[in-house]
Amino acid sequence: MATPRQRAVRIIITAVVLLGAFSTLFFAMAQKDAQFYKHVNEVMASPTQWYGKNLQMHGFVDGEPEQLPHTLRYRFHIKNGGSSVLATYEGLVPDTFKAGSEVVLTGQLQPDGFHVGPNGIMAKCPSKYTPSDGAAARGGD
Amino acid sequence: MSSRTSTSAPAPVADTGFRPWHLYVLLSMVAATAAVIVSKHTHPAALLVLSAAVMAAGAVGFTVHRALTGFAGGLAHDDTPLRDRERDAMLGDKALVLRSIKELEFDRATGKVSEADFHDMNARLRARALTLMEALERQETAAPAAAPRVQTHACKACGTINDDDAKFCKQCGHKVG
Amino acid sequence: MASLGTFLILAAFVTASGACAACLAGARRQNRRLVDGGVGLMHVVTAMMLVASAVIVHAFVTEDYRIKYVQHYSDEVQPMFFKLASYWGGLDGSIMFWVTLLAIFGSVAVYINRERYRLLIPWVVSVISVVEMFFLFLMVVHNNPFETFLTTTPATGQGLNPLLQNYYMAIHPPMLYLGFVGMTIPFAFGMAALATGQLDDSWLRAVRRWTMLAWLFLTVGLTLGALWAYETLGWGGYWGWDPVENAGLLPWFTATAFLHSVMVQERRSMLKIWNVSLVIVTFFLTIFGTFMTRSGVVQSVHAFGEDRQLAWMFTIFMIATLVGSFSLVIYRLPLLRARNELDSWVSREAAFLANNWVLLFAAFFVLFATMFPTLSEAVRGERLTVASDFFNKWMTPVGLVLLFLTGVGPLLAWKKSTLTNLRMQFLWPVAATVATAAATTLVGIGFWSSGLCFALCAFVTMTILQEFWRGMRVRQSATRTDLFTALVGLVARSRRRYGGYIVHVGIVLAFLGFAGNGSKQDLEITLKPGQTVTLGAFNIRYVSLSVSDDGQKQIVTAHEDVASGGKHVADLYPGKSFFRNHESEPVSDVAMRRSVSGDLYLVLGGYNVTTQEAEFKMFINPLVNWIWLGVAVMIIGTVIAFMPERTFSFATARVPAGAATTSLILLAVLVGGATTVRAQHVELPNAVIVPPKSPLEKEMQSRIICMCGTCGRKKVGECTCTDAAAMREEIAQLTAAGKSRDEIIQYFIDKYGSQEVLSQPIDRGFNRLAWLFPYAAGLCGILVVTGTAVRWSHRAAPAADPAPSTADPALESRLDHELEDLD
Repeated sequence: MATPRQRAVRIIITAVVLLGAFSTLFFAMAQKDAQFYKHVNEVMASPTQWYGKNLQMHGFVDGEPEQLPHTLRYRFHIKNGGSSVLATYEGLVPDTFKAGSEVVLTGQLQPDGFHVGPNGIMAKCPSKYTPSDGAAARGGD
Repeated sequence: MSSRTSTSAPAPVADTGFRPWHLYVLLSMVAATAAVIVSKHTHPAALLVLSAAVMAAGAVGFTVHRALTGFAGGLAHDDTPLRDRERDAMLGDKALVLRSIKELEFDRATGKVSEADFHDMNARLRARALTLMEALERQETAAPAAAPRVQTHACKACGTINDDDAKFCKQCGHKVG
Repeated sequence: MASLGTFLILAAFVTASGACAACLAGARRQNRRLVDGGVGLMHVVTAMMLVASAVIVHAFVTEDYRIKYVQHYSDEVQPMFFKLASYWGGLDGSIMFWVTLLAIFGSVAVYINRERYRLLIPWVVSVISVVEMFFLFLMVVHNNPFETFLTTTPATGQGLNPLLQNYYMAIHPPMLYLGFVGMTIPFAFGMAALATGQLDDSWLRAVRRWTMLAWLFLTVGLTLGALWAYETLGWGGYWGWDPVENAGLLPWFTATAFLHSVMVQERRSMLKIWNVSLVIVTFFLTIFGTFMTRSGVVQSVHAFGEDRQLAWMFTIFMIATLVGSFSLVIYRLPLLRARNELDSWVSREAAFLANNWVLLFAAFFVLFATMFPTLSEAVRGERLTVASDFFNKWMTPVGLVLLFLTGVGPLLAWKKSTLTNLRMQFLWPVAATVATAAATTLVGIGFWSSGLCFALCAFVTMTILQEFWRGMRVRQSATRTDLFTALVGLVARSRRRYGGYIVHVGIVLAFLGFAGNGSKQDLEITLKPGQTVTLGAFNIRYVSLSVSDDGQKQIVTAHEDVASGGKHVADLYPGKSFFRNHESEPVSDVAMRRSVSGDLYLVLGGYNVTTQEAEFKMFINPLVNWIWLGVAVMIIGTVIAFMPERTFSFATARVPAGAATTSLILLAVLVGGATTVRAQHVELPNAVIVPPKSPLEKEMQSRIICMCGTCGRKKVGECTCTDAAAMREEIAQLTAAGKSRDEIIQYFIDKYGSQEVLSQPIDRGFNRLAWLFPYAAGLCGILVVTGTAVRWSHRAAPAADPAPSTADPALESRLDHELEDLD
């Protein structure tokens, strides 16, 4: 049987290890892989500080998206709260992606506009949410 | 003209006869039939669901009946004497211990327990099994009332007690019973 | 009807509180009558919930649009199947479904255990009643499914979202709910054990099968969700680490840990605190998952929407649950102290402990990462989200560690493993691992992570094979039968262990499927007709685009000709469906070519009907079908582990050697030989169906049945065969000629000679009775069976046969005899 002291030491070591594990998690997340979830106006208020950072930008498609003929390249504007930014994307778009749709774009802001990453257009379904229906809104539909 | 309706007031709970739940099932079936006939929807699914609803309502009635009976203290219980229940519990424990011994032996055979550990654990399990077996026997001898009582007849000639189904006395041979 | 429903919910709430109060009072005062009454009241709640469920389903079936919930999730053209499934289509109904399932489970669990675990029952009833009360309370004050329109009733329904109108909708939510709700029962028994201080194995034995069953339903539910996403939603994958998906996964982790950890308590009386905590955490996570997806606390593409009030009510309940349960644990800490200590890290107890830790870590990691946006917003003011790549990156090593433990656990000995032990156990598995690792590296598969995954799969497979083989050999020498009978007897005698090994085989197969992810390929491209594109081993030629309509939806289909190695391999038709009234929400029709080595998966994107140009997304998903196969094997394994003793008594009895073998072979031949042949239904995929021009015509199209004989009596408006087309023409002509409804019906009755051509027989008294007969017969059958069963169960159990008592050595030898007789 371990003495109370030994047991206490074990518990403390376990707790420290666990806490350490979780903190590294938080750090890892915050540094590289996390994306900031922002509305267009929040980003465009001071765009330079966001260059190169992973963003999830929430806004509405302003006007009909342009598609380069015979390609999968799209150009469109996304607006929210009074600000608007140009976005470019290459790939298949969701069926619900058109003028006025509410979208969340995953990508990076650069001086020449917002570059949407692969499968980075998530268009919200126009009607009621029910189990699993929104997954179709992921890009590539 | 005499008539006997089976839906008369619920009879007291007889073990092999009419039970409360019979009544409720009967009533619900009658009510379901009535509801189906009266209903203005004709799709089979609608009628099925309707009768299911009525049967469930019957279930509500039955469960309320049971609950009230329970509160009133009328529910039958497994009232075997305490001694018998203890014995059953000990028998159950003994079965478990025996099973554990067998599993331990199997583990040793497949190399999941080292020899030393096996002897250790085996000894403890066997001791436990033996204790249980002793306790069970002590309970047996302390109360032989569990043994079924056999009817006896005394012989008119010599007075020897004979079994119930004996035709001749086992001592003197005189006709008995 | 609606007010009846609302009343029932209210009444159920009150009755549940009565059940709880009566049982608690009865337990404290040792008053049997109070307990009996309380248990009875719990059964009343169950019956009430059944009535309420029947009421709402009836409202759906009869299109009662006065009820808002019905109007929201149903409409006239919705097939009956989906009208029924709409019960759980929305938030309110799903809560009521939860309560109904919980009530049924509670009643069954309490009834089964009413005598053997008499001490625990009052507390079990109280806990279940409290949980029921919480959900009923939600319905009473906030989300009443029976709420009606106050002023005008809409004439039509909105209908179920077309994306939900497939078979998965009918089965995925119920399976998942059965799993969630099922976990409440072990929790209730755990609380009862803590409350009464009966903390030995008895509560574990009571809940063993419940936990297995709930775990099985949870597994099946999660897999169905993945299958649904894969087959219908068209993004090429099956798991996106979306919050709703994670909500189902969290309790799965802790339930798996619990299932394994109880074995240590049974064998060595250790890990008692772990077990009781795991069962609490599992229950908590089921509630938490529900909370996450319904309160809007986490953004999700699946989420039901935002609802602050609901979030608050859930939060209070969850905090109360945690505080209450863990206080009980702390109160009973002295009784929960282990009787044994961990003797060595190289022991099976240690492996189980590691298993617990890893699974708990996995659960907390997924929980943390899912809640990360909410937490980061609260802490830093910035909303940070994490994508599925992040999850995959972390969960891959976790999964591999778990796979490793799956193999190592059975090989280690109890208490401690000696070197001899280790050598004997690990030789073959390690050899298999090394061989596989070498083979995969040579073939060119990267070691991280696919190669390592394959190697570990080999490790676990070899372990399981070894276990079976050695067990068979031991049993064979003990019972002196042939090998096959020994196998059957082995499994029959230790169903839990060997059923568990089969489940592990399923896990290995699923991991094989996961490993395939590493070599996924995908392609997005625009094609003109005639153009070919190469993906993997396939050459895919785009042939043409066509548009068709079947009355319910318009379908755009692309024809793809798939060839491999020069030979034509398949014709695939990816497309999109646009349902009536839901044209802005098209549904993808994914085209797949499935095989053991992987899937070719085609999705149609944008298209231009005039130029016939179309955009495609194409995937190659290697080995993905092994996942589904693995889950099927897991189901089989769980069923075997679940079986009660009696099922296999034929195998454990001393049957003549080889009898078991023979009978099993016969069985296999019979099952394998049976095949059914059905007439092929001729479908015209590109049939152009002219939509009905008038309401009468539309009604007739749903009242007349297609008489082709091979479509299973589909309505003329739904069947796509030529017979149906001809009949539709007839209807069109008759309505154009001004015939009335009855005249048209009479025409068809005359033409086909009976009312068989009608979807519903004409409503006349005798016909109504005709419908009564089938279910009346069924009911009688049920009653007869129930009555017989009840009578059988009351037959007195045969009394045990006590042996005469003798001195000690004799006792020992008797023990040996009994052990020998015990199989």
